[in-house]
Amino acid sequence: MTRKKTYECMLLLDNREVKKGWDALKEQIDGVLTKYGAKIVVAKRWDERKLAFEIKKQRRATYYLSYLEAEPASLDELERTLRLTAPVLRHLVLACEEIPGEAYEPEREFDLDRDEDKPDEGDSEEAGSSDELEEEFQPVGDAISDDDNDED
Amino acid sequence: MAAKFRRFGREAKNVKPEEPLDYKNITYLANHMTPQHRILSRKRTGFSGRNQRKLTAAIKRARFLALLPYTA
Repeated sequence: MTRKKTYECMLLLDNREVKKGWDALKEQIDGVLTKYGAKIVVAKRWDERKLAFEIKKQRRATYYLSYLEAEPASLDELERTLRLTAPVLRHLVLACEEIPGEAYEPEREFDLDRDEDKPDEGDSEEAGSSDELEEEFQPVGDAISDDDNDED
Repeated sequence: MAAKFRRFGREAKNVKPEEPLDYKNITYLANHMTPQHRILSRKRTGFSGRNQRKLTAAIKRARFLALLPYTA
């Protein structure tokens, strides 16, 4: 038996599945993560945000961040299973040396509010969410455009 | 560092512990991209070679997870 290592695992979850009930989905996801002997150290919803581009026709998704202790040899199996798990739009598993302290902070309540306030968001995408994207990326462009000129 | 080992005539920009070159640190990564979301060159970020590679890897991971766009 090889020694377990710490891994950071970020999953993009389908918001349609999240709306069906977070607890059941979390149970399903955690079940997949622990299926091959991995132990979940911390796991929480990291964010619910608009995606920079569509993934499987979805414009928004929930990010689920978990830190696992797993055997390196079990990762191939784990990733294959994640790929076959329908609510997981995308996954990224990285080796990590230490778990950052903020991982232990409690979940923020952003998505609960969002789910209640805008029940039909995600099914049909409207102008509202594209405004959000501009807000997010526009200031960045302005900040950099000054020194952009001298090179081009 | 001796001057002859410096690139671009100045010392490399340090990475602060509160702003790690991590794919989750989206705003910080976005500050090192052009308005068209291309990754800034080392000359413009001022990072050391090691940190520039970390920056590149972090941005590419963030792109994969749709945290940052590939193009404008």
